[in-house]
Amino acid sequence: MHVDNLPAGGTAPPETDTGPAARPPVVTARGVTKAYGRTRALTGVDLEVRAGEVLGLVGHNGAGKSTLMRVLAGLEACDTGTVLVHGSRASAEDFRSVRMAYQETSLCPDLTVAENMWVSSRHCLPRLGWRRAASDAVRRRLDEMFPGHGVSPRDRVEDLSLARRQMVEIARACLVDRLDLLILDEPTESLGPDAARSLYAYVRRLTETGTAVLLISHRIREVLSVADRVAVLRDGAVTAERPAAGLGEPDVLELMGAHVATPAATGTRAAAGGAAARETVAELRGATGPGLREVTLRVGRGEVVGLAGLAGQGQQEVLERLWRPVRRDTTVKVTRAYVPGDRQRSGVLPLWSVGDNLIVTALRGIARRGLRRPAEERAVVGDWVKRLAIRGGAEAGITELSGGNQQKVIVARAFASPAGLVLLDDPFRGVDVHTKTDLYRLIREEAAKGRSIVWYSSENAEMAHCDRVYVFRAGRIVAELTGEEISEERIIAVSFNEDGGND
Amino acid sequence: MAQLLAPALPDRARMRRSAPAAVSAVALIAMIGVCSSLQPGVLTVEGLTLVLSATVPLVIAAQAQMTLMAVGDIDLGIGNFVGLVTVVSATLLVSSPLVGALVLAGLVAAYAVLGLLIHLREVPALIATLGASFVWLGLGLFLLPTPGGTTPGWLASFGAWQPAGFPAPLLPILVVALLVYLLTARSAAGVRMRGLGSNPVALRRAGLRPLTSRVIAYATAGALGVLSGLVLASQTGGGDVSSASSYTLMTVAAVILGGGSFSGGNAVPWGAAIGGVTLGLVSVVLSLLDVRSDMQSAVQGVIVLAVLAGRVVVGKVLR
Amino acid sequence: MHMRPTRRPWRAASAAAISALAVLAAGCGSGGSGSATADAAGGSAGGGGKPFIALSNGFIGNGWRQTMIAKFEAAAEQAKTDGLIGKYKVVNAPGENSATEQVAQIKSLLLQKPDALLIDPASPTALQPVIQQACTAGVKVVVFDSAIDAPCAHVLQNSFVDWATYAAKPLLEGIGGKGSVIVSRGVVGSQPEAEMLDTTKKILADYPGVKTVATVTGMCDGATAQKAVLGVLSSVPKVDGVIGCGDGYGVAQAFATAGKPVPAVDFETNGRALSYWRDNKIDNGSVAVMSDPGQSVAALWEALDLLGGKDVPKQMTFPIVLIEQKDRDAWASVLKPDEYAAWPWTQELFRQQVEAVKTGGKPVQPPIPSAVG
Repeated sequence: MHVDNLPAGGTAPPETDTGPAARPPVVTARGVTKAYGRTRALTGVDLEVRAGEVLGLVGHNGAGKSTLMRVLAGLEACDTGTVLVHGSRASAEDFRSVRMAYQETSLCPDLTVAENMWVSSRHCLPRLGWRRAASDAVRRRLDEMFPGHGVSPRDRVEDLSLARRQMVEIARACLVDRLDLLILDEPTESLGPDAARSLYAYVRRLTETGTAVLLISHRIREVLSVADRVAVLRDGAVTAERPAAGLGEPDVLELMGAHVATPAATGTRAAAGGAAARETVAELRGATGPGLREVTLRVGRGEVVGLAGLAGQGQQEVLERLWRPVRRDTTVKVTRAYVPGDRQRSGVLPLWSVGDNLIVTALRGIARRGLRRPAEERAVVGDWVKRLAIRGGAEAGITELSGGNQQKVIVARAFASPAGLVLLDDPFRGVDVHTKTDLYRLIREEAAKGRSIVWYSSENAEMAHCDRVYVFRAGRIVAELTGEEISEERIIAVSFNEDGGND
Repeated sequence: MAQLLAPALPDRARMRRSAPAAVSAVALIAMIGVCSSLQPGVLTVEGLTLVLSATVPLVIAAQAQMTLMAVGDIDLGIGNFVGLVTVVSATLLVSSPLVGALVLAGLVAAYAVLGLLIHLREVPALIATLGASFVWLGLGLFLLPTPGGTTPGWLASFGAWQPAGFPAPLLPILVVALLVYLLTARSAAGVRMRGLGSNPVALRRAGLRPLTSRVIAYATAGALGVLSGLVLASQTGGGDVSSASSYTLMTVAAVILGGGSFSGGNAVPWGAAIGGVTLGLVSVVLSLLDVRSDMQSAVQGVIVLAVLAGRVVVGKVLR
Repeated sequence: MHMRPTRRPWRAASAAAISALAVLAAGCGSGGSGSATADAAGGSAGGGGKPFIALSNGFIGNGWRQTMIAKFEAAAEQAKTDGLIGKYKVVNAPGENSATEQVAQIKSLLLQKPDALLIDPASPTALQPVIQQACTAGVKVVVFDSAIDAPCAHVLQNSFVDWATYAAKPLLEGIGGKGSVIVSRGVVGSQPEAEMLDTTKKILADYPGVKTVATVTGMCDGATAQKAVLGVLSSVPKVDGVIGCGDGYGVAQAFATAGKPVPAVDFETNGRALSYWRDNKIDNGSVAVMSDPGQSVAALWEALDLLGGKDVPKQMTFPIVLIEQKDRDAWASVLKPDEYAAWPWTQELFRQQVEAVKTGGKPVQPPIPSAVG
């Protein structure tokens, strides 16, 4: 069972006490360029990942992070430049010790966890009895990485929650007989805070044995707390490499070239006191059901209501109730539009153009007597494309767009419809700062026009853009924050407070 | 506490997945019940042999269809392919057994090549197999323009084989389902095939060639198609290239009844067997019930729809 | 390789279903098999009562087969009233003349243990194993309308050589033994068609003055023949006759559509074609010829004689239905548009014909309807 000898680590360099700079590089990229058609994804990357360090890689969507990772993992050849593994030109065999955990998981949903292990780690499994070997190995690895993970090797991946899938994906990447470099692409996007902590604890244990870890994340604070060094990728090239120690979040954002708008700057936020006076457009009265206990909340006209708390505490169930108000305890007086978070699965119509994707919900409102009116549709589409600065324009195929721009289209689709209540299901996961700022502004503008927005976000900082925030824990509302009370610190405090925020 | 709730979920999911086959099995048992109440002779060994024997080639062809549906493809040529095999077994296999056997092996290889072409040229399987179906038909008409011929003695004696105390058709149904189960659900090759249907990107990222998976699946389907044709020839006693043309869609229905899906990723050998027997039994029930023959196709369709509806309802309840 | 049934409920369910089947089979088999054979033995001797006659028809999609079934049902109903048979059952295989379907149908018929099984087969070879199975179970099998490759079955059929001869000869005589003809072939690929085409060719060889200007595939179906003939009409100069197999109505329509005079054709023997022939005064040597849908009735009498232990030849050829111009109006007046002319076989007529077959004498000429009344 040689898959599982990893943490003991035969490959650890003996001189762990030397400084990170003195350690040998595991993977080196020199002058790497890569173009897809006319798009130049990488314009000359020089990067070194050294044994036993955690290198954080940050950058906007579209900065070339995904491409760089694929090149470093040996999945794609670069156009010019070289990628060296242990100082020599890498062959396919060498890349076996470079493993990557993907953000959009690379698991087969119809296969069991153990079978997925065979797919990616078959080189280190016996030919006969591989199923049991894979089951044992993945169970042990998951136990090590995420205690209390609740995943059985016989579960089918499609039946697992997003968080568990991510755990399996990360465990899958670590399941190899020799691991030199582990690339983690947005590993904590779907994980809860506990799992994230366990993961980083494991990452540290890994690095102690000499494995290098490349961490890509939008959560800059997380990167700073885990990484030894931070590399900033901008427009297809590494523009800065700094030790993480002593670096602050604003510094990194500045290196990334973001003009971070503080919540106050977007501030057309309605006066907090006005909330009670608004006309109610939707409410839940003591709603109880799977994942919900005695939830009472109301949404006023023109109000932005946030649903906060740790992941999976009932926020999405509330959205589901509002989207399909079939039970007696739910009242919704206006039409609704829904913005899904998992855009790969439920958001875009991949064969359609940007314009068609954008207009599909609003189509009926624009049409007269069941006939489409192309001129009006074009006008609406054009307006939104301009307003959100969607790259590529209305005629581009939706899949040609970057993830951030796709997400803009999906958000615009909801707001282009005449819906009075827009439900946002964590729509900005993995979206770059620029796009986010655009979308925050859009949300405030639309709310000012009298639309109501219910917004679930896993990123507590986003909640600062709301008029009111309900904080959830274990299917209950534990606090209702308004106006100036809304702050990340406060939400976190309430989320973790066992007694619940009674104020 | 989320972890405490967790273990309940996958079990429910498993039940949901097994629901289609279970609904088909219930329908199957109900039909056997109806048959036996109308005609007590059904529940004798002879009765079951009569009832089940006609479903054997269909069930084996359904396994072939299931294999291809597991990789996310669909085979619109299986009916004519089975017909072609009956023709080969009624002509070449009799006149020169060696050539006949080689031709049958060649047909399996042809299926593998078909899979290869589908993969390399990125033709939709729907179109490629539809095109192939005309090739099979043409070859069959070329070999044997009019239905006829005789099957080799060993094949005929297999068709007439009647062991005591055990309905003979059950044996091929179970053995083939078991073999297909071992291949598609338990083996590494099966993981490759289902992985291809489930998420080809993941397969590629893991350094597995989807081409190999697809060729394995097509070769398997070809082999099962040949087996189905041989069994059919043993029952009809001759070759007729159009004798199994209805199998094309019946096998798809059987796989769907058994819990398979068009999107691929799932292997349901037991489900396909149950679905195939269920479909085959429908006509027996209808003829025992004296349903007018011009209505039979319609009633057969309604029964299939009812079973599928039951599957959906059960799926909803279990969600 | 472990089976953990609790973790895979569906597997357990399917396994349970199949094993339940097996158990049922084994359980009932041990108890039931003895009585089953006793039943079969008793049944064929007419033990419990009067015989049960089943008819399996491979295809029901055309008027001829429907007439065949209607004639059988009428005769069987009468026989039941007369106390000759206990009950009867007709099963038509659904779909497009598929032998596979018919095999399944016959198997489910055998479950019901008939004393005699009449078969109008979908294919002359495909049914052989199941017929053997029926014979082994002690069922008397009479196959009609087609030859069959089963040594244990009795076969009653019309001669396709007769059909092709009657379709060609009177017509060629009618056009004076010279001119141009189109040959409309039947169901290409079937054995009878091959036989008929062969005969047609032989007869045509006897008429050197007749030139075959085109050969089309009419599938013995008016609509198909109409399209096929229309397709070649523009490319052939003048047509004096179309030798076909029961597709004359459609062929005549094709000529009428093209604005050409209707040549001598082989009409269907149904009411619609005969009326058309009569009403449009196509008196140019056309005939109506088709096989006899009354064969099902003859087969019923044969089955009864077989059950009664009489000696009946294994192979018998019964006369085909040929309607020449002189008998046309009599037939046309009694047939419904979709009803085909059938010889009214009675038990007596049948026995006369059997004698004729045995002695090699002249075939019986059953009365035409006007004579019957």
